[in-house]
Amino acid sequence: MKLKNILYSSAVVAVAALFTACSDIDENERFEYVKPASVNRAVLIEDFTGQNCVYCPNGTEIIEGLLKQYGEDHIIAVGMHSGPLGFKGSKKYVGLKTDIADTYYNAWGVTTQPTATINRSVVLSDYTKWGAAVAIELQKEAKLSLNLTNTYDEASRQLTINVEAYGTDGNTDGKLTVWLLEDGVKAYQKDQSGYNYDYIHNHVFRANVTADAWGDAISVKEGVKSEKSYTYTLPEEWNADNVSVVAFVNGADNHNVEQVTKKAIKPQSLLTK
Amino acid sequence: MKSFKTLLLAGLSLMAFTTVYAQEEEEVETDLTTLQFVDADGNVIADGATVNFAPTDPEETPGGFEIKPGIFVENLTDEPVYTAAQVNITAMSSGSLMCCFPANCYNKFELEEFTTDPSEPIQAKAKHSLNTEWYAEAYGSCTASFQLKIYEATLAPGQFVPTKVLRANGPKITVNFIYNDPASINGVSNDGAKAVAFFNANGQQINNLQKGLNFIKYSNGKTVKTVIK
Repeated sequence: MKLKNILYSSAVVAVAALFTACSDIDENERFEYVKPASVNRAVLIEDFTGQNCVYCPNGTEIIEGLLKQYGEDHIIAVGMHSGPLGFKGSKKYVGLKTDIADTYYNAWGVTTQPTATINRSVVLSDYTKWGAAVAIELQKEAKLSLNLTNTYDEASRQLTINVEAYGTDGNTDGKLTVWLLEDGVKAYQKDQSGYNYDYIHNHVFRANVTADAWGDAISVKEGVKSEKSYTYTLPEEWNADNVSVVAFVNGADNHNVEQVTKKAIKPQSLLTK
Repeated sequence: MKSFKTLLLAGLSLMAFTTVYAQEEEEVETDLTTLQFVDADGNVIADGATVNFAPTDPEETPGGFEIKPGIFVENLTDEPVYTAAQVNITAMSSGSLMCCFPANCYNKFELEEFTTDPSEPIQAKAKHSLNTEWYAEAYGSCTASFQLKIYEATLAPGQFVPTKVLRANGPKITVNFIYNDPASINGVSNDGAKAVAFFNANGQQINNLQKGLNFIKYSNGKTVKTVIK
């Protein structure tokens, strides 16, 4: 009984001391919530293109110009080979069109190529205006940051993707989509001078990794990290040295990309040039 | 303040990219002085003309055998002109018709009528390829008409894409894309009629179509001029 009283009294004293200590700190210097620093945003360009599309290389040129202007950290371009000008492949020719890309093509109501969505905020068939749309999107405040960690096993060709989302401005209830792209794919491309059978395609959309084509539900709260992980086995015909992961969060209505990021699956410094 | 800025940017986005095309009116004036169709040599293809194109050795491409007439649209004025083509595919024995005019591409596998996007103007006094080919999977033909549309473009403050309003119909031509079996004199048809005789530029009867100017006489009594490249 006495021990219990002593312990109780000690606890009261300790707690009292704690509060006493707090009250010694000036009111203005006590701990306050500090809002996370805003982050620069990146912009997603979904370029609905096709190997049979004469003017699509013009759209590609615009994108390459934007990449040079703003940098690869701020412009994430995806070549969505799709629609009636896309080519799925034959015994003789490599094709880059996928069914998933066609899903997006039809959902956005694309009727002509090239056409691009810019951060899924606007759909534009006039490729000379893509730069203006990108500039508008880059000015918007990012509500969250995204970080990718990729682990790739050469022997099994298994890729493990960890996506970390961190809220920097308010809470975002939206969808997380994760894609795989490949650079340096040699396949024909039609342009204004005819068929170029040695054309090298970059940012080629290869696959969707999330369970749904439109992404997995995600809730990103301000000041809190949310994580999701995925695995994918790369087909043999892909060159793993040139494969990257793209992850983005957009609204629950599939519009308005809040943030996007891209990372190669292999550390670029280790690749043999 | 931040939410207001976001709203303002969102509003600017919507306004900047709103492009309004006027409803296509049933009665639109005809203007044959602004644009004209020409061939690769600059020869005018008159409004209302029918052009037959039957190459002797079309290129085999991933899309099929490419039947590609060299047809251009020439801007006769001193100002850029926004234009589009209203395309009506009325016959197609196989494959697809690809039209990339003026700056975007369409590929059609069925008979249909569509109007291309007047996204980019043809510059003053310039010729712009119609960029239209039939990709044939087998011998046969494809027929399509091309009606040029002429637009007035205005750029309102805050907009990045001009608003285009249909002003007039330009010239219209019909093109027969023909993939001939070189061994057959019946590989060409005109409204279902069969070719019964071929003549060269000198009016001499020949056995097969040859490079250059040919005249094809059909079973329905019609004679059609054809240039083989």
